[in-house]
Amino acid sequence: MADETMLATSMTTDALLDVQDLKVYFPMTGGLLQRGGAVRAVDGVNFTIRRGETLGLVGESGCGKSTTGRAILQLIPVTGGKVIFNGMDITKLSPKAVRQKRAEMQMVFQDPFSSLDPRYTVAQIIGEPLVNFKRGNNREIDQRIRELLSTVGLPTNSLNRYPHEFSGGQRQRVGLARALALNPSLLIADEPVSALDVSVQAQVLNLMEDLQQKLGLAYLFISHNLSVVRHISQRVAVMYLGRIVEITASRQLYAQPLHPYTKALLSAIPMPDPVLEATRQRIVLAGDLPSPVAPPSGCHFHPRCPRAQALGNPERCRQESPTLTMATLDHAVACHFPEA
Amino acid sequence: MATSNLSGMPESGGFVPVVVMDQEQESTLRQLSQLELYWKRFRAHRLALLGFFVIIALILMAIFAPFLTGGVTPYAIHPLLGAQGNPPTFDNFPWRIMGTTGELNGSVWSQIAYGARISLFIGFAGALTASVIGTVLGAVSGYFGGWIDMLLMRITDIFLAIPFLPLLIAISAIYSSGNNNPILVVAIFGFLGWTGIARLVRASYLTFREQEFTESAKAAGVNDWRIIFRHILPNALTPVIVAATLAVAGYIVGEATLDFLGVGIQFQMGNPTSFATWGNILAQSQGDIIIGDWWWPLFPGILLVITVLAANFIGDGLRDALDVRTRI
Repeated sequence: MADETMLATSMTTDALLDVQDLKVYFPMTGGLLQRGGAVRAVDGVNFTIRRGETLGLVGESGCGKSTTGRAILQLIPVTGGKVIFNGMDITKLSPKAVRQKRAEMQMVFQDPFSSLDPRYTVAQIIGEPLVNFKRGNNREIDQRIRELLSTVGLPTNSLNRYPHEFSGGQRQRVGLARALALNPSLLIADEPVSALDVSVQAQVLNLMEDLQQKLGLAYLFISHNLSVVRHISQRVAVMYLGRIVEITASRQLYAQPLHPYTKALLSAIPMPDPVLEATRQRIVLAGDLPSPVAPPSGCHFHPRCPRAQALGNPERCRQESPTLTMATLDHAVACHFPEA
Repeated sequence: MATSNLSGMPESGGFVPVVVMDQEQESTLRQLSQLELYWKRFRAHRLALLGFFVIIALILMAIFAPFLTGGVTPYAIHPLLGAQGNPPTFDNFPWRIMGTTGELNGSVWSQIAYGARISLFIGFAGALTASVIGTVLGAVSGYFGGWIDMLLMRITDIFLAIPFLPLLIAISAIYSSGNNNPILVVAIFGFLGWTGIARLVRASYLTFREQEFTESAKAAGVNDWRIIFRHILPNALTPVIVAATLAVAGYIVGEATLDFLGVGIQFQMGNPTSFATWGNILAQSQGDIIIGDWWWPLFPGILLVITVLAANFIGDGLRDALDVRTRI
């Protein structure tokens, strides 16, 4: 495919989205005792997305993937760091300017049943961003809505129907059409297929790929499903407890993971072939995801890390937080003892 | 170019309906407008339809009271209007349904027909005022949360902590005694009665603001006020409608309570500056019951019950009609 050449050329050109040291903390107030402290949902995340590229963001529940996506759109307040979109840091913008910027980056939500207002017709749902940003008169907007419906493969007689009249996959198409209405250059897709049946997942994923080629969209594709991410992403970032532990090209990550956490995640993917499945070696991690209120010292992963245990829990893992460094070209990993 | 009104709401610079139907329209079925759909769903609810017509009939009765009573005013004291202690007669129906009150002769029919004006006005206007205040405060409180919520809910608590009836009596005694001003009574009910609705609405908003469609609207650049009133409100309105229809009944009876205690709207036969209401007819009938004049409490009482029932049925029907998920 064209992604090699695209990668080569876009390495030198500017990034569409550049997230630098993004932090989102939720302060813990409430209750009679002011406990202070904060939930460090996102704790210093760095990545870039190039034009027309898909970056997959994977990690287990509660690791801060969704929060990262929402923070980029400024849907939740950012504690620190920068979100540079098209060369402009949008974390410092006024609410009004942020609203204008949102025309260029849109979001597709996880739950197709709660992300569409049940009292709005499909035409109203898709047309709302257009009306809101005053993209033309009624007739032009109507034309655009019809265009969008056919883009996402829905019949025009859906216009006056309500969300409850559609299936999950169709609703997700409505959500996509709405997100595409303003011609954004970046779509943040927060688990867009995890609420759908597997057969419908494939349809929606293929649609998203087609749209990317047709419209030159960039995606931040958030998911916990590694197979899905592998299918759609050119590059993948793995997140653990609010931090990115590994980021590289999709093919590279799945072929040669360097971080022990990524290895454990990949070993959990079931294989369709029963013979191969029987030989699959699972790396089972001990314990649960630690609390983001009081993350472990040093490397956040060290209490569950099989490699740290094999090495006899080195001092360095327990004391020093590893930074995301380039192991090879375009392959960054945050581990003191990365394994080739 | 025919534009169908999708929202069924006044288009005050807000969301312009975007479905344009023209010759390119593929669907052969004529699309129903939103109002038509609401009406269709409402009509499917038999009791609601009955309630609707009953309320219409009562309103017509109130408006055309002078014609329906054949010129017999509620204040008229007339020796020909039935003999003392006699049940109402039906001579020259419909305007001569008469009875007596204590030592004075008067027309029950005329009094309840004219009384409907004030009673219905107080019931509906009071419920509307309370609902609007309660909805706006509850919505703002639940949506924004934080210190705004804190402040508004503590104010609500203060209103709830004050015993309703004594406060009502005190305010009425200060402002409306002798004024006989129905608008004042409405204002009193409205400004004291919003607390329950505010709490209901706040609770709904707490739920709906966490829903993804709220976030989706934000991501589409919709401002807070439009999210509050155009996205969440239609979804959160159901309990308000039910509470409001109950309030209609509550305020008609509440007005009767004030009259009974002598601080509401006063009615004196022979005094054309006073107003008859169902409440004060009932209140004045306590003496009549003792002497056996059953018609004085019975007729306004029946109308009160009918109005309350009709309002509740309408509330039921509205709840179903406004829910787009209801199948026709």
